Amino acid sequence: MEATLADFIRVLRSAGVRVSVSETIDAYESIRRIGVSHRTLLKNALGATLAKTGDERELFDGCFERFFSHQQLKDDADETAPDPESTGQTASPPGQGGGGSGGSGGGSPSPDNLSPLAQQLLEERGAQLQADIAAAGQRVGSQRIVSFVQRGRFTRAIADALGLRELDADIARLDAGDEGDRELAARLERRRGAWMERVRDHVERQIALFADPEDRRMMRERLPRLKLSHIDRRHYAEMQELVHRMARRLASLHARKRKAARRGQLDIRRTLRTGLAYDGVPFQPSWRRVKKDKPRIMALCDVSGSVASVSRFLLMFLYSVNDVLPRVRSFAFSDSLGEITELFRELPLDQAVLAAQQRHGDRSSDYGRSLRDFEDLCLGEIDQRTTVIILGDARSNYGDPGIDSLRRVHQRARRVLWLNPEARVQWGYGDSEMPLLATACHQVRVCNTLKHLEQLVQDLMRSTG
Amino acid sequence: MPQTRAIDAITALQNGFEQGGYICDVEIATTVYLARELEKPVLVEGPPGVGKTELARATAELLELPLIRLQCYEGLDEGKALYEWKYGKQLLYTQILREKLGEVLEGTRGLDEAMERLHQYDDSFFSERFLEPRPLLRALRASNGSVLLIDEVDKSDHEFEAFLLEILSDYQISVPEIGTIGAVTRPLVFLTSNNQREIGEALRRRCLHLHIDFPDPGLERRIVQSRVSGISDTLRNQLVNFIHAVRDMELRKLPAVSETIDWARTLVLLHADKLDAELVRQTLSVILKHQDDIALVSRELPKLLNQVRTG
Repeated sequence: MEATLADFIRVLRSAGVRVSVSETIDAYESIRRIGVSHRTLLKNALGATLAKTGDERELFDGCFERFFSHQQLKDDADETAPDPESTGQTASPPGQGGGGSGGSGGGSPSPDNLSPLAQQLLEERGAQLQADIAAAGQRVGSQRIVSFVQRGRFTRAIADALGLRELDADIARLDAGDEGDRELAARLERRRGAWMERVRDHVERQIALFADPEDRRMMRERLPRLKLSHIDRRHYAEMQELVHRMARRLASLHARKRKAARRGQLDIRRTLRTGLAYDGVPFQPSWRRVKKDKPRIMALCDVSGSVASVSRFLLMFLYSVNDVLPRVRSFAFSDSLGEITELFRELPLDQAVLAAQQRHGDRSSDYGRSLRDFEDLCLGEIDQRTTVIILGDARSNYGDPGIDSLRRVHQRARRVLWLNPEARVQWGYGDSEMPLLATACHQVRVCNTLKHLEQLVQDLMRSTG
Repeated sequence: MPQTRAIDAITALQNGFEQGGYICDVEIATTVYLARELEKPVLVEGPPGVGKTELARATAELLELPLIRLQCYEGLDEGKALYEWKYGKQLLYTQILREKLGEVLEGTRGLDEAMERLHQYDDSFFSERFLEPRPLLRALRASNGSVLLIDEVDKSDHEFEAFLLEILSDYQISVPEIGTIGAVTRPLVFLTSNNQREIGEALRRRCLHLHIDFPDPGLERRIVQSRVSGISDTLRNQLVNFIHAVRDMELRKLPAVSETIDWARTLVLLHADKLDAELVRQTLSVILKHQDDIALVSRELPKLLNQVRTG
C-alpha cells in the first residue's frame, strides 16, 4: 500500500499539487484508519490530507479518478507491491522455458510443458494477467516513463519480463507439430495479440499519468530562465501562472515586514503622557511601533514592437504585485505616453495588458516626446519617495533621446531605474542611446528573464522597506 | 477490523450532526472524523453562508464540548488572541503591597542587596495569576477539551497567521515570561476562510483541508426540511430549485444556504404554499443583497419560475 500511495503522490506532484512529507504521513495515517475498501471515504480522506486549496482539490480529483481507475489498492494483508506469486512466475520462465525447448526434441509438446504465460493465456485468467502486467510494470519502472517515445521500449520490457520470448518459442514449436498442436498454436497466437494489447494499454495509461506532467514540470523550471522574447505564445498561460505565483510569494514575503515591532520596546513618552491621567502612574504602557512606508513606484513601459514581448511581462508583473505595491502608477508609451493605472484597476489581467498594448503600442518609439509627456503629467508628484522604473531598449530611431526631461525626473526622484531588455554589449550601437540616458539614471540593468523581474521587485522592496 | 469501525464512526458523526440540525454530506463527516483521529486542525473554505462556522458549532454541540470562538480581523494581535498581562492588577498589587515590600526589604543594605532580595519575589508578578487568558489560551487550558473556532482567518494579518503555526502544529504556546504552555487536552480546531486573502502555504500544510460548496438540491431540500418546520413539499421543492437556478446566474453575491433558510421561513410566515411571481418579487430582498442583483433576477423572473415549475 505504501508503494501505491507513494506513486499516487508522485502523480499529484507532477500534476502540480504540492505535497509535503508531513502531508504524506497524514495521508498514510488516514488510510490506516479508514481503509481502502470504501472508495468515497478514501477519496475524501486523501483529499482532505493532500490537497490544500480549491485548485489543488480539482487537480486531485482528476488524478484520483485516473490513477485509481486501474490501480487497485491492496489492503494491508498483501501489502508489498509485487506479490510473491507473480514474482515466482515471472522469475521461473527462463528455466522452465529452457526445459520446454529441450523436451521438444522428443514427443509432441502437450499443454503441460508450455511456459507459464502460455498456460495462463489458455486458462484465460484475465484479472491475474492484468495484475501481473501491473506488477511487471512496476518492476521495470514504467512509472518512470517520461515521454511517449519510450512507449515501445517499455511495452517490450514488460512483455519480456512476463515471458514473451518463451511464449513465442512455444508457439513456434507447436506450429511445427501435428494438427492438434497447430490448432493450439493458432489459439495461443490470438490470445497473444489480445494480451499484447493489454500491455500496450497499460503503458499508454502510465504515459498519461506520469509523462505529460513531467514535461510540464520541466517547462516550469525552465521558463523563468528563458529569455522573455523567446517565449512561445502557447506558453503564455503557463508564464502568467508563474508570474502570478512569483508575485504572490513576494507579496507574502513583504507584507509581513510592513508593520514591525508591535511589541517589545516601550514608548516612554506616550506611556508617561497617558499616565498623567492616573496621577502619573503608568497604567497603560504603549509600545513603540514602526511603520514602514511603502514605496511609490511609477513604471514606464515601452510597448513598441521591439520590446513588446518583454514589456508584456513587466506589465503582467506590475499588475500582479499590486498587493505589495499598491501605489504603483503605470504608464505605457511608444511615440507618446499615457497612463494605464486605471486600466489595470478595472480590467482583468490579460485584457488590461492587451488594451495597454493596443492603446499605446504598435508605433515606433519616440523617447523624447514620451519622456516629455511623462514630465508634464507628473513631475510635480515625484518626490524623494518615488522610484521611477523605465523599461525600454533606449532606441530612439535617431531622434531626441529625451535626456533633459529624464534629468529633471532624476533630480526629484529617489531613484530612477532603467531596465533594458538588450544585452549589455549592444548598448550604444546603432540608435541605442543607453550610455547617454544612463547618466541620468541611478541604475541601469539588463532585464530579459522572469528571474530578473523577480530580483528587481525584491530589490525595490529591500531598498524602500 | 478497524476500518469498519471507522466507517461506522463516520456514519455516526453524520447522523449526530443531522440530529443536531446540521445536515452534511459524508465528506464533511469524514474530515471531522480524521481531524479528531489525527489531531489536526481543519481549514474550512467555501463561499460565504454555506455553514462553515455552523460546522464548528454543530461539532461542539455534538461532542458536548465548549465552543471557543476567535473572530479574526485586521490588526488582531496576540494580546487579543492569546493572553495579556493584567498590567493594572500588577500595578495595583505593587501599590497595595508597598508596606509588605518594606518588610521584605527590611534589613537590606544598599541597592544591590535590596535588588537581590526583590529578585526572589519577581516571579510572583509574572505568574499565571496575572495572565488574562484570551481565546487561544483558554482553548489550550480547557481541561475536558474544547472546540476552537478561528473564524475568518483570512481577515487577519500575515504575522498573526505565522503566529498561529505553533498552536496548530504542537498545540502549545510560548509566553516569554513563563515558558511554554501546552494543551491540557488538545482542542479540535476549525479555521474558516472566505479566501479574501491567500492563506499561507505553511498554515495550509498543518491543516486538513475541507472545501464546502453550495449543497446539491437534494441536500439543500433536507436542510430546509430540518430547519424550517411547517413547510409544504411543493413550496420546498420549488424554493430550492429557484435558489439553484439563481445560483447559476452571474450575480454579485450568490444566495447562501442561510439565506435559503431565511427565505423559507419568510414564505412560511406569509402562509405561502407555492411560489408565484408577485410573492417572489416582494421577498427577493431576503435572498439577494445587491440592488443590481435584484433587478437582474426580477427581469428573468418569469423564465426562472417556469423553469422551477417544470424542473
